[in-house]
Amino acid sequence: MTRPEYAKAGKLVLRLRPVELIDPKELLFSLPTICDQLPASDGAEADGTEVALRDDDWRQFELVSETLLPVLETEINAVWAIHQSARVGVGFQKVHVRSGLPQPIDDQTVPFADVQGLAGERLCLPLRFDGAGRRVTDGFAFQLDEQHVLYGVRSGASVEILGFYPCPPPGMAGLEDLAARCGLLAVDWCRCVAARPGEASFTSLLAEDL
Amino acid sequence: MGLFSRKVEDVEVTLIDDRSGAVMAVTRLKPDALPASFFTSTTMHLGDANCRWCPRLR
Repeated sequence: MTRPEYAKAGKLVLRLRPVELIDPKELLFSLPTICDQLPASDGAEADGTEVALRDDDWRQFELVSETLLPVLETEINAVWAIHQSARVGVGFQKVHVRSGLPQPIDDQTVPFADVQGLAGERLCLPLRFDGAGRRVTDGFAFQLDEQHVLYGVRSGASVEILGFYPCPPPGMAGLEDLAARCGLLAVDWCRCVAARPGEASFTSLLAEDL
Repeated sequence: MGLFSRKVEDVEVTLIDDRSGAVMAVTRLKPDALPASFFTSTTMHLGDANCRWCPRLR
């Protein structure tokens, strides 16, 4: 909500939480991995029309060029090690910060027009991070349904990052074709799953909802 | 003062404890005493305590 909006309404309701200090040794991570790099948030000023993602949700389910498979495998093995050695109840004592794939999609291999085709008639919305006052530079998002978002970062007429929050809708039409055409793997980092189009693992990855 | 100058009205601000849903305080403030927007997490000092306003996901 912005100043003109609450000044006009004459009312403002704020939900607050106390700032609490805790012992770092007692801290558990809710996720086994996060992405190291976030895109720049120096686009236009946010006005509330954006799709907002939390930092931790960035690139947790994404498409990665198959040419990057060796790095992808190294990263997935590191996340798997967290599952094996650092799991405590529902959390993790450690988190693997993924830095090996700063650009997960090879240059000019995924046209933005193809991504628009995947989203159908849905409106292309700006993207911002939760808590950021500005939009992600060259960011875009499609609200696929109430729970699922397709988002990414453009580079001219192509896409250099393409992700889903929290995952693609089950059985999403056209995704496997796009992945096959553009040489992409679907990767669910937190579950350590990478799937190639045309294989059963890809279909089963799309059959599940997180 | 100009004939058509407009008085800046106070905003009624209700502070709610996000954990319990209980109303912590209700106050009236000028708009320019509040942040220009609430898209960014904002720490507010209430008496001896620090409280944080956290924007919600979507």
